[in-house]
Amino acid sequence: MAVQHKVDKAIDEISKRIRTYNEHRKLFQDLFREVKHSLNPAEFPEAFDIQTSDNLFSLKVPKTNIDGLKIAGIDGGVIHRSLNYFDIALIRAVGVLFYHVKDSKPLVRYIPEEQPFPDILTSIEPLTHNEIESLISIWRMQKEIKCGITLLEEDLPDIIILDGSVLPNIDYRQISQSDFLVSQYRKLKAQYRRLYTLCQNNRTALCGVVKDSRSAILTNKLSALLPHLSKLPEFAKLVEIDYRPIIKQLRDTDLLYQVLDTNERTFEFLLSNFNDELDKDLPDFSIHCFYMKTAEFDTPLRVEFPLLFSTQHEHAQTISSLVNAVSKYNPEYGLPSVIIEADARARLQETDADILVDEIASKIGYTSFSLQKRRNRLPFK
Amino acid sequence: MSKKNIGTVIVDEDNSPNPEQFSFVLTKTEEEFQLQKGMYVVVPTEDGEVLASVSELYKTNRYFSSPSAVRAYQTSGKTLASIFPADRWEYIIAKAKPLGIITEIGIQRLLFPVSPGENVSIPDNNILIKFLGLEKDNGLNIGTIEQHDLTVKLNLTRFLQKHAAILAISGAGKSYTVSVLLEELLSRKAEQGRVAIVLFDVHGEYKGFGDDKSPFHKYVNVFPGGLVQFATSSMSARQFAIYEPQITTAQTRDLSKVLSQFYHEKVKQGDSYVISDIIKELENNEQMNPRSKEALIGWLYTLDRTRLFGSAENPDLKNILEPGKIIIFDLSDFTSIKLKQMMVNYILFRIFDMRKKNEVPPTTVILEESHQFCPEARIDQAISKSIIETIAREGRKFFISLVLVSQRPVKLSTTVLSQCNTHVIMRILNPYDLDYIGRSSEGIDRSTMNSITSLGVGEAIVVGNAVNHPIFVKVRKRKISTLETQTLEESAKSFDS
Repeated sequence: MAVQHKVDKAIDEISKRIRTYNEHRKLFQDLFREVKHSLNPAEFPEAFDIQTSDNLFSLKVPKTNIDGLKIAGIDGGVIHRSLNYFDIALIRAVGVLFYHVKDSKPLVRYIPEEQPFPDILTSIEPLTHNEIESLISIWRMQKEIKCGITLLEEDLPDIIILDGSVLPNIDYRQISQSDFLVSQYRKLKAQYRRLYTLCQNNRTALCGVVKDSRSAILTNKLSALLPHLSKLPEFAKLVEIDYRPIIKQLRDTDLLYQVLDTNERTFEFLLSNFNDELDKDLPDFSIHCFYMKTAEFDTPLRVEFPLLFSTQHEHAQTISSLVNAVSKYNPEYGLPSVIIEADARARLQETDADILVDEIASKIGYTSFSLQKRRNRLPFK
Repeated sequence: MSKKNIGTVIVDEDNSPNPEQFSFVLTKTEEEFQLQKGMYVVVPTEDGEVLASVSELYKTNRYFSSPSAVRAYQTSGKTLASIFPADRWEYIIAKAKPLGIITEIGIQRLLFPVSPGENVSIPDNNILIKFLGLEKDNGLNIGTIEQHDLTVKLNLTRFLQKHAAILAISGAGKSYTVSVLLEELLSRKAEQGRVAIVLFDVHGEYKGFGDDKSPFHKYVNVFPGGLVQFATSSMSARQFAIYEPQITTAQTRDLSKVLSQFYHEKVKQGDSYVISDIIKELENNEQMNPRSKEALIGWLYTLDRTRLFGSAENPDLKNILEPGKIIIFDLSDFTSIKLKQMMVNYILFRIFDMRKKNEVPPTTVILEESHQFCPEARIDQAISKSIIETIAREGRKFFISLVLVSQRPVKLSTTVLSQCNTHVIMRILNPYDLDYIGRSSEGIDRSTMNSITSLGVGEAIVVGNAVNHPIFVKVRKRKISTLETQTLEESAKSFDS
């Protein structure tokens, strides 16, 4: 009875805390929503520490007619098995090109094909778990970027949308100990550079859409900015409440889900430079980013793009209008149609890897069971 | 064996493949190959090829698998199909029921599942003919298995020797199927084996077979029911009692004595007699109980008034029954079911008797509206029931076979229907009839049963002895055009003029 009482009390306390936090958060979001049009991010270059060409926190995404446009999406699929003696990964990437025709369904083309057979990659390099994970990510990105390059070599899309970041997001510290990994990373970066250059030459817009982004770059910057706004009357109510614990815990998409209207984006801002110490002698590409709400009941997308041509603002407007045009069909799921199709084509089944492991095991004289790591072959579940 | 790969066996959620079922995905586009329900497919195994029939077909498409997503996308004012290449995700999945495995030692029951990933192909028609137990050349061509463009030729013996039944609602094509069957039987050459055919035409539908324009008229004898006459002298007292069930056992005994006396005095001398002769003899008989005699004479008068009883048989069945020929008894002018039953009883009794003595060729009797002649109801309500049941039970040994045609199977004698080893089932909607067919048709499974209500006009399921597995047949077009039926409008106009 005493134990039950303790549990009940703990549950009550947790519930109360969550409820209080939610109410507090909601209040902050509502107040922020009220003042979002008064906030000019370019006005506080030092406090906000953000480079942007937009002078409004949120902008209406311009409507565009996609009839006659070629919109491409690229996604990859990976299945990884870490066995006792080696690692094996099945990787494939599919590019989907929709040629939108007026009053008709889009004409579709797949690169390299509708359901390509996955590459089977194995590594017997003595790598750590993190290194292996990085290697597989590199391999997947290589496959996806190669797909994009092929797309540009064979066709002239108006925009290429990558599933995920437009940057080769690898933690260099995790791979720097392995020459093999560094060489693979270099190869990947060269591919990205080629993709950017081809897009630049063809005047094809390029972007990556990140769904469920965990980034807190905006909320962190806002956290630093808000104290400077306390003297401005329109922000008085907002800064009056104890916003600090709220904003500390909020990710960008959590905040913006309530703050942005559908078909609205945040200001664009410089995210990073593509170059690093490996290729500092090569031309630079600046990578920009904004958040955009494409569906009423879905969290905003984080859209990243290299600034390849045109001005920052115009480029952001073009990309946002195109991505929004192919993402706004479903009020509950605001991902671009080309990415949904590419994801379905690229996705791999767990059973595909099982079959492969079984085949390899039988050829080398082991049972597939004995190849599994001990933690994966518990006799009891 | 020619091969046309059309699909691949998949692992389905219903624990298939298993020995009773497997699923496969169609790997051809609909333009390349149209898979249809009821089609036969083969799958290779180590022991031989498994032959299966497609029992279910469905389409799947991931874009339309979530109702909420479909609805959500439609709110944009565009259809899903106009946003995504949804048609590229459409797959046809088929469920197939293995019928057996073709091994070196013959066709055997499948006791193990086919393997996922195996190719599914369309079997060669020769394989199907062998597997289904059809004939290549000498059979009765009743139509085609449409999906395979395969002519269904039923083996004469397998189809007829153990009797057959054609069952369907009115308008489903029973009479049409009977006329196709008649064409086949009448087209047979002597070396193929021919039977004599007797058809009881209740509605006068088959008279056209005897029309001069009919290619079969030479083999057809249409006999009006009004001219039928029984040879009184060939009948036993028991038969009189069947025609007039109120004749008691004692009266039958007394009548038998008179008939026996007549046999010695008249028949043996080459003479014959009629009912009035029997009545006269009974009137003069002083040994009989007067009240019983009076009653018997009364019943005999009743029978005499039917005008069916004469001194000689008409037609002379012994001479008129010939191999490859048909005698059609046109009963359409009769309204009395009792008279029709008496005629059917007499003629069948005579044919059965003559077949026992091998005096007439092997005979097939086709009985339209057979529920009128051998109902499940009490025997005294159907004069002809007893002889039909006898032939159903024993006719096989003497090569006299029945083809019962009925639109109310539930009203047919259970004994008779269960002796009909082949059923040609056309469209039936009545749930009682369906249930009855399900219980009386051997080899018919639930999925085949479910298909009966959806059969179109002229489509039939053949099940039973004539085939190794139930088959769906599109009955072929008949050759004669002299069996035109009138529409209601035509009939009304003709009456008016």
